Amino acid sequence: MRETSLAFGPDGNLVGTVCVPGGAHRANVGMVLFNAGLVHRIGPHRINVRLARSLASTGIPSIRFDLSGQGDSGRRTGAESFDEQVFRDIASAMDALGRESGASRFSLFGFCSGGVHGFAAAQRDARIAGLLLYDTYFYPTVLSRLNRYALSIRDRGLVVAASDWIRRKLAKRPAGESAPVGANGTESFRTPSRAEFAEVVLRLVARGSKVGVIYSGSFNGYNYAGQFHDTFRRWRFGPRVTCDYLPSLGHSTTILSDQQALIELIVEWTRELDAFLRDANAPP
Amino acid sequence: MAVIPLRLGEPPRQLFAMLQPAGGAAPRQHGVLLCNPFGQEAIRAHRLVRVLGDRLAAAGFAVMRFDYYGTGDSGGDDTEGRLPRWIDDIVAVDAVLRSRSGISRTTWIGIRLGASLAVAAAARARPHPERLILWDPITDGAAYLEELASAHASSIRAGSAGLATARRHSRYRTHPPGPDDEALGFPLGESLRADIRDISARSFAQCPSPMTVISSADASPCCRVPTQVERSARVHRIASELEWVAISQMRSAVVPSDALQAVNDALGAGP
Repeated sequence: MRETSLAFGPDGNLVGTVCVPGGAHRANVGMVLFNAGLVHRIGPHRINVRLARSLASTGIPSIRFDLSGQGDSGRRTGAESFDEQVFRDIASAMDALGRESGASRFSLFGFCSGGVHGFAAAQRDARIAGLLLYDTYFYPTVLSRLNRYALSIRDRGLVVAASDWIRRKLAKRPAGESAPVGANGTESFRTPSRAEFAEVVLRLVARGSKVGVIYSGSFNGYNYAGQFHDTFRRWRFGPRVTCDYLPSLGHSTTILSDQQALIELIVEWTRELDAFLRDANAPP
Repeated sequence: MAVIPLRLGEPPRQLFAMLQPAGGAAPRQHGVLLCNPFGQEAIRAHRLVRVLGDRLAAAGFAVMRFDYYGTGDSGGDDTEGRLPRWIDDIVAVDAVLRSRSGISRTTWIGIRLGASLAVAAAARARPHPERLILWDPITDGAAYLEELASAHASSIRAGSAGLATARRHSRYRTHPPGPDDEALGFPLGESLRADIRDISARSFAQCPSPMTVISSADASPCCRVPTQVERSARVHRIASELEWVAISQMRSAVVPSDALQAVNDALGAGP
């Protein structure tokens, strides 16, 4: 395994570390890792570093980098929007990883809000063959709502749970009003509707990509294993779209065994993607 | 602002470092080495260290920040962290800062555990650093371990408070709440705990370099400035309250302006 830290991008403002496996094995996919919220490229509790090294041990290269203005990366000089800047940053990271490792197809892992950047980039760059979203978008179902009420009553008692429910209903947005954009005013932080999400996923699958979603046990918004399947049943995603629900996993992966469980899941998912791309590229 | 990412040493024991050459109209023949705190505190302080580095480089200092072995973007597994190794890292990176920048004078800025490590490393560096700026230095290792244990237990309780399933409830009930071997998401093995437990104010009294201590309001007991340190150091008390290990602050960055000003004053880096 070889790690190289470098400045890259058109302005040379981006900082990242490429992790390339040792040996002559040539991977079919490279993993791109970036910021989770305010945390710099090493990820929460350094999880991106350990993930990168685990991937390298199975022959898969990666880059972990800071988006413009975050972590160690400087600001871009251009006047493009935040969303456009993020897209260009991710494209630059794929260029850099390609130069260092020879990979020409890539997978993005988005931790929490980092997933919205991956979701947006995957729609625009056909080099992205894999998209993995961790606790990014939540879509309730009838059963998840019932579960949520039951959990609320169990944890806080009927009176408190009911008064909270009434308060939330009174504060609810008027019907037809769209969900607000993110706190920074960017469109990309909006949760896409079910139909929008499904449409994007189907487009990615049609071009040969793999999409995965992972949910921890930390949020009431996702609370049973089949929730994703129930939400998108009518779109018939097929085997190229995966959902893993890890109810014993804490979102922030503060416990070391939680970190290991998430890393193992991502490595296995990426190895399957690598094998799929290898088979797809094999001569007849 | 130009930055030069580096990997120092040979794999797999390489250290990640970031060199910021002196900028501004009048570069000084003076370097600043920034020494990180431990674990989750280092993640929370990353923004602070970067802002500090940017400002000092713009004021004409050559600045180096880096990750200890087994931490951050450096080589090594998290379980390999030991204080003697990290003290060696400080001495080695200081030598690189001097040689790459063509300077002989350096000041070290250490935060929390990084400040304690800087004090221990100062005696080993040749020449000694010109001054140490110590921000909430850990002066009582045993009290620091207790603080980490308490914060870790709080994080486990917080993790079980907003849960979704009964299975998660039981998982967190059965997980040991104390940091037998981990602290706020990072390994804290017996060897490292023993290293930390040995930290005391004695080493501060023997430090060969002049010290400036920046003491935050309501600094925790492990950062109390003992009398013998007060006698030998300039102590600058700031109004900002910095809960370095507070779970409610885990996702927030911290860049208090009065602390940055105190650093500027200690370095004479003002306009």
